[in-house]
Amino acid sequence: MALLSFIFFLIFVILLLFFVSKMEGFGRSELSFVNQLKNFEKGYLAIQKEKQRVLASIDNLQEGFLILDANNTIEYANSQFGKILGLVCKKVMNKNISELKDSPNLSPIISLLAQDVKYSFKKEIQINENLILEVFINRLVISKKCVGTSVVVHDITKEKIMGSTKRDFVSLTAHQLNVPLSTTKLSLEMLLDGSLGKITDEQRDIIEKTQKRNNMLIHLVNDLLDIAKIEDKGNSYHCEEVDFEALVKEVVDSDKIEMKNKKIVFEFAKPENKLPKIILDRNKMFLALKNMFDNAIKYTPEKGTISVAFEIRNKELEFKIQDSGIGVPNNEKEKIFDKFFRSSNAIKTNPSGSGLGLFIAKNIIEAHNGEMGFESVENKGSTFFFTIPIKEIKS
Amino acid sequence: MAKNILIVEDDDFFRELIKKKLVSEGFEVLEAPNGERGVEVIEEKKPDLILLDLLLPNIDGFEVLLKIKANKEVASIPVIILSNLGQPEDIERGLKLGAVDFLIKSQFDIDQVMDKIKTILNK
Repeated sequence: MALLSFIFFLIFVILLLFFVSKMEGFGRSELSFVNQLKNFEKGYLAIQKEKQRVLASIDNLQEGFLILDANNTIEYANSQFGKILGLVCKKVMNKNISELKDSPNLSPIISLLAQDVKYSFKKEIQINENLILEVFINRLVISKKCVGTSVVVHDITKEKIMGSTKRDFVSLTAHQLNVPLSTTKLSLEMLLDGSLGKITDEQRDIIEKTQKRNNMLIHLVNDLLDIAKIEDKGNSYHCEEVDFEALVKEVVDSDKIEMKNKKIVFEFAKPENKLPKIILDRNKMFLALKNMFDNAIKYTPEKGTISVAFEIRNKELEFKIQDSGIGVPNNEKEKIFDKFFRSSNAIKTNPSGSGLGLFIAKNIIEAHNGEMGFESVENKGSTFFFTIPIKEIKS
Repeated sequence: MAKNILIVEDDDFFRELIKKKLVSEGFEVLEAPNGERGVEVIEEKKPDLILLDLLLPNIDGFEVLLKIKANKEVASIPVIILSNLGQPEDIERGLKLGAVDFLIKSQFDIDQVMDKIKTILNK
């Protein structure tokens, strides 16, 4: 309404000036004023044209777009927003979100908007079985005052379905590969232990080499299975109360023989006070710790040292594992958490790794809203660490 | 007297290898290529121990376990699951249904499997 009144007012002023300009005795200063008004009119029309261009662009976006004022009344919704959510945009215009909370498709977004959050954020929400959205909520702030909110809605249903299909494929393929691999493993073991008759030294050498390669494949397949599990963040994480110290001890115990074989000096710095139980996905955290620990052993030379320490500080679990291993070359540090990446010195030390261990560990830590990092000096050693915010602590 | 071990396993080659190993260790071996036959042999021969695969034709290993535990005459026979499955939920389910151990095929050496069998039979 305000806009309409303004346009009428403008037309009135222009007409008035037009008639005045026709009158005799019209002075120079008045003419200058008329010119200024004409310029103003031109400018105003240009702004209107630009506004229409911007709105047309927004209307043709692939993403749904919504603008609300400071009181959460919808000022604008592009047609894609209506298409994605199955709504008629005109029907939601100028309505407050409180009037729309019964709309099944809109209500999850309204719940997000109703949150008293001062900053911008994004969230993935499943509207129904066939619609998964990524929603970006941007608070519009001018001079520290929230003047409205913009909402961008991105339909990610196809990506999600494709991702799930890919994970199912990897998982199924890995299981199918495991069947012949484990049978081959058994037959090679039995050839080597003499269960199937005597073998010559040359045959033993070849069988042992075959066994190493078969074990490499088994590890790779198991890593792929782990990846399929960890990439399915939403569905496969089951958090429970976990005794973290006992979990670390379990990981350490599982590698005791390997450490003994390499004569590694191991130090387990337990926290001064016993840790309370922490809410974690026990199996995934075991996998993350195991990958970090296996790496330390794999790349630490004989008689080297490995130490593990953890503590709770500022409502965060801090964990670190330090080794005197081969370290990471400076020019390869950036890629160390990449999928399938193996540093050049790691390949030389242990050709059989898959390059998935640290990628898996980092994904698991991040799925717990944590952060993982490392410090390393080539030929001196590495420290891998992570922090996880503690959601809930029970003593 | 030699102990009797039943292998319920649909992979012929895997079953043949395990059988050879068990025989070389002095055990007598019974075989079943699927779950249905497995239950029949268990009820008929009452073996001293069962090595049970999970992914089996007809009825799967979990169902075989259910049937064994539901039959008082054979419920006390120890069952070791030896499978390619190894998700935590599979392990939990197998142990809850009454298996004494759960071994993942690709993660255990044949000697470790033999040690487990001997330990359980000597209890």
